[in-house]
Amino acid sequence: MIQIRLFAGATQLAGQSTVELSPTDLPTNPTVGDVANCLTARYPQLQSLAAKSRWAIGSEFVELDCPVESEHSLAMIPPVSGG
Amino acid sequence: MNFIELTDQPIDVAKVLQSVSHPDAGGEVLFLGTTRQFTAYPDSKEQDRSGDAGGQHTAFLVYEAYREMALKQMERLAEQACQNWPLKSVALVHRLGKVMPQEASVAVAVSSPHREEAFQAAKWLIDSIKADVTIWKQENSPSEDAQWVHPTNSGAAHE
Repeated sequence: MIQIRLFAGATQLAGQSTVELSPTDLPTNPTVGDVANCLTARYPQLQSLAAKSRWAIGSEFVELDCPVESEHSLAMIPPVSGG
Repeated sequence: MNFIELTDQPIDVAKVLQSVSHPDAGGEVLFLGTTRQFTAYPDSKEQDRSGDAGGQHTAFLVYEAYREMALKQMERLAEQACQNWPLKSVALVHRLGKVMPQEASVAVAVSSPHREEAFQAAKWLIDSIKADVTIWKQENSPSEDAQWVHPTNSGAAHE
């Protein structure tokens, strides 16, 4: 299973702070972009926030074309507002 | 030795300053970010309300973080600042959870031999925290309306 962590407004919109996707939900050799598409297909309410979010794997920002392994823990990082 | 912390308690400013104290430092700069009672509208670029006392009334803020990532980012920012300026020490502390108006949500402190680089580094550090570190604030109005803040012009262009 591929685990996705959600934060702040994304948690509120999805009603949960983690989402699990099965590899069968994704194309073969999936990328972060594929995971993002699958997430927003399942939670259409996340669409507009996802469009302006960045993604991270293991605490590092990654690009949408980054390959995803099945044991990866991803995080959708909406625009930050600390400070 | 840099001091990096996420805390659910009020920020201990004396401890922050003490952590950057150094015998070879000729100056220490401390920045505190505090909670405003009135906040401009999130898309204030379009609706230029600057100088207007209007805007949203904030009863309190709630901060949330992706802690592991935020701590790593803060460690790295402190290290980068020490490479870019001749600093003696850096302290970065961000508060999480509920923060009342006038309380500090973030503290940045640096010490260096001379003031110029201390001011520059402290500004770069707070700007970088606000652009990239995985922390979010929720504005809570007196009418108990809670709104997560996701500015459209933050971050993404940065890296």
